[in-house]
Amino acid sequence: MRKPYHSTEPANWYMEKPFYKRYMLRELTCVPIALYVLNLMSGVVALAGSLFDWQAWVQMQKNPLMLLLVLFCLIGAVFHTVTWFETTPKVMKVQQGEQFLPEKYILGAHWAVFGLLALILLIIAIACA
Amino acid sequence: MSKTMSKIITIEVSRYRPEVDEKPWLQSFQVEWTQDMSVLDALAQIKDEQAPELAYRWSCRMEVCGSCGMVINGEPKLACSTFVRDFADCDKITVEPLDHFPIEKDLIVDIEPFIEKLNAVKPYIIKDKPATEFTDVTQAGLTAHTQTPAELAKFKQYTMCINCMLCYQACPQVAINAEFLGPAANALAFRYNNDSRDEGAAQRFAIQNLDTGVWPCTFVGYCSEVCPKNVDPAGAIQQTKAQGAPYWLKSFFNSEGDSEAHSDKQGDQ
Repeated sequence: MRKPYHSTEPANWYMEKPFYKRYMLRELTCVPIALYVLNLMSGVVALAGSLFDWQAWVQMQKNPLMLLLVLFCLIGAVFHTVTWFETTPKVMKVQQGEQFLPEKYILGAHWAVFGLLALILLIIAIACA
Repeated sequence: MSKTMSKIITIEVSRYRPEVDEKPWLQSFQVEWTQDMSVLDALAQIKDEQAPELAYRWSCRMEVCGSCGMVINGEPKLACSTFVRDFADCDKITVEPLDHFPIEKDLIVDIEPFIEKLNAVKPYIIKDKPATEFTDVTQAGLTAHTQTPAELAKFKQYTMCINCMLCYQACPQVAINAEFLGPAANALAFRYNNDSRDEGAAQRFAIQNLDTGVWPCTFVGYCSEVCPKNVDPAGAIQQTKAQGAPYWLKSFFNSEGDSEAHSDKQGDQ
């Protein structure tokens, strides 16, 4: 007699293994990123509004809670970047003859481009300040 | 209990007898173990000496056939290449079936859904035209489907799959959505799509670009961690997502190029 048993996945499956938890944490970094974007967007809206709005927004940024939020966002963004870059060698295969470029070069190239872009943004920010 | 004094370990085996049990349960066995004993050997001892009706699959005992995939202490593993000695410090070893598939009996699951997924991606070389016939062996190099070592290297890693289904057990998306084509079938499709002799990529992408194809994958990546043959299905799926985009675009603009519709017409005649 056949009576196949179908198991169901528990809703908290991601608590089963450290590997899953790390994945879920990477996915959850979208929350701090979204909060940061919301704050930035409200800044743009304030800028398009009145001088009073803009000054109020700038004042709000100096609130210790806002500084904590930005720090939280930064940690989330860094964690996402590190873990996402770690996955890139699986996706980007650079074949050279019968071999593939070692993973460290793919990873290194990502960090190099990241560093370069960060430097350019920093220079622009300093120049504009 | 010191491990030097006594070499007895508790092994809990998941039991499910369809005619009796409502759901699987764990049965505890005491097994006297040796340094060279695999979990598969331990199961054999249990079956020989304690529970002759215990059902599980195995064949080669050497990580080649892919039959003895099980969940051992929560990890998808091949029982033949998992050793009891590595659990000497644990209280016990728990052995459960790959429950992302329907459990038929004890540690045996229904592999039919998996076989259907493998078949769905047409895992063989597809040519638009048959190879030119040749009678002279010396001609073979000119007319057969030749391939350079560099062309082989492109997909060789993905030919190593032994269909053990550990990657399906590692994948939370497979558990949530049983229709998902899954890691091994997509990796196998990748293997043929990237074979220089093959011309069937469009047919496979028609399957892989479906909602149940590559797209349920959210790149958890655990499938590649548990693979005993280092096939890296997670990498194959992410590369397939990139390779599939042009086929998806083409399906928008080119309805006449639908080969399946074409073959249906031929079937009607």
